[in-house]
Amino acid sequence: MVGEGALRVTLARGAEDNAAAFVRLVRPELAGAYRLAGYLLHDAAEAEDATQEAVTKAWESRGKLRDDDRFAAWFGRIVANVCQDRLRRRRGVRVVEINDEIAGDVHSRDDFRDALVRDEVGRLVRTLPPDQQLVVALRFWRDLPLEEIAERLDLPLGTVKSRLHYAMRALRKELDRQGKVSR
Amino acid sequence: MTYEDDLDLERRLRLIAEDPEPAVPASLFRHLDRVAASAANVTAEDVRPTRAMSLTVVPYAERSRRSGRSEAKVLAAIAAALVLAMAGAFLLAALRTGGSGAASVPASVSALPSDLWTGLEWHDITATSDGLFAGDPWEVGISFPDNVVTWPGGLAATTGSGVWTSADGRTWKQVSGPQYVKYLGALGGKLLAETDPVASCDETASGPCLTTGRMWTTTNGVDWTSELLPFAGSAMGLTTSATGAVMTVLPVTASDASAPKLLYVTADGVNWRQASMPNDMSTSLGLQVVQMHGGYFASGDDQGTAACWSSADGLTWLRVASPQSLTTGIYPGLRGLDSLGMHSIDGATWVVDQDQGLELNPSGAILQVLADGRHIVASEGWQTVFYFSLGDGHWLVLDQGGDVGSLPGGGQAWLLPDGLLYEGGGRLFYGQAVAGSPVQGTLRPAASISPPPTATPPAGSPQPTFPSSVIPAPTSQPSPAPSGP
Repeated sequence: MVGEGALRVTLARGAEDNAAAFVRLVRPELAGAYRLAGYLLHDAAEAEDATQEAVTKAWESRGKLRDDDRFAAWFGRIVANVCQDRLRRRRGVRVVEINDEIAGDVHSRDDFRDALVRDEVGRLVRTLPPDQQLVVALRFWRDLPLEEIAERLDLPLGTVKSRLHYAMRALRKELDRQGKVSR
Repeated sequence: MTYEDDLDLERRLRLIAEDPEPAVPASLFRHLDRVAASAANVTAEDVRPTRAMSLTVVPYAERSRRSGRSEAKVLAAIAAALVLAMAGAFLLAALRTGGSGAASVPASVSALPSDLWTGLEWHDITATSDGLFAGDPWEVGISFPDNVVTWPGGLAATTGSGVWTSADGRTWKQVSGPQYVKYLGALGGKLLAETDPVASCDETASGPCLTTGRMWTTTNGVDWTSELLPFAGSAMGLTTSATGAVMTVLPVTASDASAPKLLYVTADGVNWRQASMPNDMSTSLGLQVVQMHGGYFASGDDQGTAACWSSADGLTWLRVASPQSLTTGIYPGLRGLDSLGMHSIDGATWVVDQDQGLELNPSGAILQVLADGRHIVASEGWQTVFYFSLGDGHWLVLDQGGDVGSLPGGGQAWLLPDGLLYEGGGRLFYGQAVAGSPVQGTLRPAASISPPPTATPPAGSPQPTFPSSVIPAPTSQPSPAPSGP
């Protein structure tokens, strides 16, 4: 674990130290960022792109990190923004799966897609509005407390709660409607 | 019930990401190391660009097809394979619906319209956008145009935190008025802005959790008036036309977890009537309403398959045929609804587009489709290529030029009456539509237009009901169907 304030300390030492400190701060966050992007974007390749984009954004914006102690939350917000941005770009476009029968060999294996289709609820999450998908992903797939989600998304806690509430209600409603769950 | 009580659902959600989680590709760490290695003495331009947001500006000559890039070759091969797969699926879908998919686009061709877009002339308007695009969205969150509409006063846009207006699309000015705008629309001579209340439901409290939106209206873009919407719920969509508007609403009564979505219709932005929908429409996920032929068309999911509904006035809806499950998007065109690869002149019969040689991403992951009732533009963000159609199944690639020279990839576009607004790479661009150049593709104007089937309520369907607080509005009369070019 990188010591607190490492980035700030090395800023005065020169670019090499600065970059090394940046790497040390980012590295522990990389797996979580990639998996969050993967579950949200349900595509390993795009998750890799999104994570790279977030890293690049973080590097370009590193000078604006006011509190080094909060690097994880700051980087997490960038990752969330990148993912939300990509989800928003899909708005108005219904993304559909090409099923195995149709796609045959073309449909390559994707760990995130496989995980999401294991249960109907995984597919249904993708039909939620992007802001609700993000809260669901951070809460259940990254196991973040609501307070930290609020911080990462720069939202009031009440808004996070209500988004999660609406998302869960929509999922439950759809599952009940489909009659595919017994409670 | 609150979400905290739904332990079964929570368990199922958590299981999705249970161990072992997907492994992190080594290339990510290499990318990080590369950033670090080059950081000491290079600029951002030296960092390997990501696919979605290129840091390296690629000249037009190189970018136009990128045929020399192995990455593009691989993706092109995948795209071609998927297009073949989709084409096969389209055929299967067509066979299931009676063979309509095998039909071809009418061959009759009249003279090309004089305003047919053939290219875009790009201009960087970041400096004249008055903050419509915030300089550093990553510090405080994304801030760029979220919604752009045309109204008699010109153009209007919102970032979600305010409203900007423009007369020409190049110079924008923020106006005082509604904040936290969720949806923007134009209705007759008015500009509408819907603001959602900040939901603050207390999950521990008993009883309903109600929120009510507010509708702002202006006729000059300066003087705004607002009224609370006469129904509780969270707006999920606003579709406006010259004669009316339809708002999709998710009721937020916490005690009623099974409440379906509702539609409300207005002719003036003030008085609203609740629409009557088939059950499968009200419970559909991803419900989207578009305006078409003076009426309305809706699409959504029905248990995992695409479903479409039609309405002449927004008040009464009828399910109509849909192109099965392989719909990547439905949007209004000159002749009707299009989905990539298929189109329909009446919303009932779907035919395969003739120009299937598009290099569009078949997954639709970074595909954006824009339509204003006449033009349809599909943009593939990564390659920054814009495809154009009049909705007749033919597409062409728009030529691009101008003082920008090239566009950053991964951007987002909005359709204007005479061009596009495009955000990318931290800049805002205006693409002036160019007409008159020779058409390289096979795009041709539609031969005829058919109105959508008239929606009649199914036998035994319930009549619309109106909450006491909803003032019945005069029935909006659909405008006549537009004539062909």
